[in-house]
Amino acid sequence: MQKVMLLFGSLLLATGGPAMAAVTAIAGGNPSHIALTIPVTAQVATSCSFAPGQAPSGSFTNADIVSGFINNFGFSLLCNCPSRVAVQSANGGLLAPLSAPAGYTNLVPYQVTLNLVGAADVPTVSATCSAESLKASAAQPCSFRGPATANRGLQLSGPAIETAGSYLKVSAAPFDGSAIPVASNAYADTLTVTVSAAI
Amino acid sequence: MRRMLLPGCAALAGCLILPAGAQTVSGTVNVTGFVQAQCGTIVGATTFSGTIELGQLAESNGTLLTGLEQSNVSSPAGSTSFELGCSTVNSTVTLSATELATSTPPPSGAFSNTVDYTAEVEIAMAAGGYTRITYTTAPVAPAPTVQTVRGQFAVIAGNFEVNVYGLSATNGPSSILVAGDYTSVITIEVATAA
Repeated sequence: MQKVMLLFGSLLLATGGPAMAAVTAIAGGNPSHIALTIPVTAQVATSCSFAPGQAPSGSFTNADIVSGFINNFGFSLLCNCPSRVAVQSANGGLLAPLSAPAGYTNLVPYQVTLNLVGAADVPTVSATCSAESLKASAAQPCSFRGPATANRGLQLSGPAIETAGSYLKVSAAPFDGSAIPVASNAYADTLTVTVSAAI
Repeated sequence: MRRMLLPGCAALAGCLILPAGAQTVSGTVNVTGFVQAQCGTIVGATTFSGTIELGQLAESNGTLLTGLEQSNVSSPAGSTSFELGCSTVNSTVTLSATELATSTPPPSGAFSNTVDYTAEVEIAMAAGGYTRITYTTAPVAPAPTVQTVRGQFAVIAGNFEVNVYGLSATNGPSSILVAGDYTSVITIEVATAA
């Protein structure tokens, strides 16, 4: 499993041979010749990672919590087999290091979209979950909450060879919660993105 | 024993008591045999098969291991050996092989699920030196290599050595090998020849 860390603005994204009996063959007889079969065997182990230099990374520093925001972090997969990608949120939203009096909040929700592109003929897959559901302790976890394993994460059904188009998107509509976000320039979250072979 | 002779029988009695004269007779018995023209495992050998296990094929970036691509007759990727003998001076050896392949289809031309290679049979000869027979696999299987081997095989263990070298991914050296178990079969036929 490969893990990459992403940092975005006030959001901190961490994407983180069988033996045969003796035989004599006689000219003109049956058998007339000796036939030997020698199996040749080899393996290619499953291999899955982010393509070199193309892991999800970076930061988005100007997330406008009140007006809403959107930002993509592109990446490429290098997998010789089906893969799963998963995301985990450290805070379950954008968290300010301040206490929030009654009627206020220091935790602002946002959405995380995962879009995976594989080799030709491999269907692109996409899914969106709330940051809250990506938290390790989430009561109702997202289907692609990390860390990725062979059985957990958004699944790409075939190999991927540094194909462009995969991305992790963070977004939020204009804030419309009932509580008022406390003023702070330090709202932040860290997302950890992991990839695993799916077989 | 006391013998009683009658006077009228003296002459006859004389014949009975004389030892018979020695006689010499002679005869000729011919013994012939043959050795059939045949090939087989050496006496005492009970098996003549083996498996060539090449292990992991791919580099960390998914392409075919450079060492396997660069393997050659002097430094093969894998080998096995066994012992065979033929009663005739000459023999015919037929060699063929299938591509090394896995069942998972490649999703695109950027991937390979088959690997071609050269199979070689190196036969140690009784007169010294070696006879070498090769066959290179391809997506469209070439006809088997058929070669008449002049001279008898050396009677030594492992006189037939089978080597595999010069591996190449079907869709090119930069293609990614799909994960899986890869298998192939090398077939060698040995028969007597005039």
